[in-house]
Formats: sequence, structure tokens, C-alpha cells
Amino acid sequence: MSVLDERLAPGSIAISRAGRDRNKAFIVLRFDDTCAYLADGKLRKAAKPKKKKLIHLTVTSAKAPKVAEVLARGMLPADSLLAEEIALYDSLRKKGELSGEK
Amino acid sequence: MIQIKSDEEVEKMAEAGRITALGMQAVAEAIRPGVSTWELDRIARRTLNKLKARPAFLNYGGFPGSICASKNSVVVHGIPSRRNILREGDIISIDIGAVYGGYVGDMARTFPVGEVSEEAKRLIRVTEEAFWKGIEFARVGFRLGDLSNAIQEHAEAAGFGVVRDYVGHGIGEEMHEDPAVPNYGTPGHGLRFEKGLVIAVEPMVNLGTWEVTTDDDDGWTVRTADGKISAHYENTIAVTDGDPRILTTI
Repeated sequence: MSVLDERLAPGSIAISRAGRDRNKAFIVLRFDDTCAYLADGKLRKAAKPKKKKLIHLTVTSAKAPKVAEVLARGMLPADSLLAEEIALYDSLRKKGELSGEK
Repeated sequence: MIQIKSDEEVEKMAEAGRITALGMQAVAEAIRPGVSTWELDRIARRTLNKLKARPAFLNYGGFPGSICASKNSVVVHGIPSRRNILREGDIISIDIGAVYGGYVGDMARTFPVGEVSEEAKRLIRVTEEAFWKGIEFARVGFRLGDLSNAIQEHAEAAGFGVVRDYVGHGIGEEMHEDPAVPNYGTPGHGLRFEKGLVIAVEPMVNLGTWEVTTDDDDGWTVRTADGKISAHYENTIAVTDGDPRILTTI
């Protein structure tokens, strides 16, 4: 019986919890055992993502499905798409319409 | 936490796996047009009970069946029902788990009901092939991302969608243990395989988009977002010193 994947995944939205970008939302482009590679299309572009330790991140339950789809095809998402998804996430976060972070 | 199994534990899991496979065989023999998924569920339950095993899925998180019976566009977690009658041309995915001697076996297969379309046959075949391609990497020296990527590459090369939201899992005394075993990934990334790791590898492959939805009504039934058919193939496997060992086999 398969299980719902609640792990960090490409396209997940994560919040930085340490460093100069503390409390900023990013989209996870890829990850390994200890680090995730993050971009938001503005501060950090898809071509040069920020490498951040997983312990310095909070993974939210929010996803950027369009970005996940592009990544799943093995391509890099456009920075404009990343920025658009982050802007949408931030606006929902401001309005308190998100179910919370896990 | 990932639990590495001793040789003795792997042997016990092989026994649970053998019983799971016997349950699957009994269900497979009963699949034909006109049979309900509820009847298949009864057959599974009776068979497992006769073998002194317990269906692992029954009441798991509140799941009401002994098997998951997922027809056509249902990807996984279909609830067996008297009203769900198999018809010629359907495909049906059966997922079955058994608890025996304190350990769990878990496996799934997709079966054609009578004569099915060439497209459906190809989907079923590619899904099984993706499993075998994936477990080629379930060896000491490789990483989980190698296995996941091999599954993804094979299914996507055939033009199919690999389900992202649901994944395989570690298995042992509990049905769902760490690690998560996705059917997509990056080669060279993730957990390193080591002897004694036991996992359920289970590609879920959709004819169309990889996206899925879950029925609000029952909270279980997972369907393809585009309504196209989906196939599933799963075995419980153990990483050894050499080739991976399939535990869910007769």
C-alpha cells in the first residue's frame, strides 16, 4: 500500500529559517541528504540556486505544481514562473489562507 | 528512522511475503468479468486467514478493506465494494498486504479483465518493466535516486506519467517505515543502499498526466486527474550482498 509522500520534493515551498534570507519563501529545485537547492526567481535564479542545509529550512505543505512539472521533465523553470509562484504564496501567506507549515 | 534487518528478520519477512503472494494468487485466479471487488476482498481475507496471517490493510488508518482494488482510472487505495463489478476491458490493480510472524509483506499487480486495449496492455507491461529496471539498482553501492530515476526514465520514455504524490516505503514490523521510495528522482542522490534494507518498490504509472486527485467522499480513493487509466506493480524486496531478493514470491 503506497504512502502519501510528505517529504521534501522538487516544487515544494520552503521557508528559510537562518541566514540573511530568514523567513523568505523559496521553491525547492532539488535536494540531497543534507541540503536543498532553492530559488525564487529574484534573489536566487534557477540557474544559480541557493544551497541551504535542510535543518535551516521549514518545508511547508504548499507546492508549486507548475514548477514541479517543469522539474520533472528535467528542465529548469523560468525565473518569471518561480517569481510568480512565490508571489502567489506570499500573498496567500499574508492573507492567512494557508493551512500552515509542517 | 531506517531499520536495517538482520538475516533472520529477512527470512521472517520472506515468509510473510510468501503468504502475501499466495493471497495475491488466490485473488488473481478469481478476476473475471462479473465479479465484484468485494468478492475479491473476501477471497483475499479468507486465504490469508487460512494461512494464519492477518490482512495488513484492514483498518490500517481506518481503511475498510483487506485489499485495495483500484479499477481503471483509480490509481491506488480503491475500496472494495459490492457495487464495483468488473467488466470486460477493465484493468484492475490489486494491492495486498499480510502480517505474519510479526512482519508485513506488501505487493501489487494490475490485471486485465478479459480482453483489454493494446494501450492498456502496454501500460501494464511498462509498469512492470519499470519495477525491474528500478530494482537493478537496489544493490550495495547504489543510491535510492538511482532506483527512482530508472523507474521514472523507463515509464516516461514510453510516454506515460509517473505518480509523484504517492511513493513506496520501507517495510518490516510496520507496513510503512522509512525511507520513502519515490518513483522519480535524480541518479546519485539519496540514501545509500545497504544490506538488510527492506523496501516496497511500487511504480504507479498513468497513461496520461502524473497528477492525481483524492476522492473527498471516502478520503482514500486516488484517481488520475485526467480520468485515464493507471497501473501499479509492487514487491517487497531486500537488499543483499548480491542481487536484490524479492520477498513477495511463492
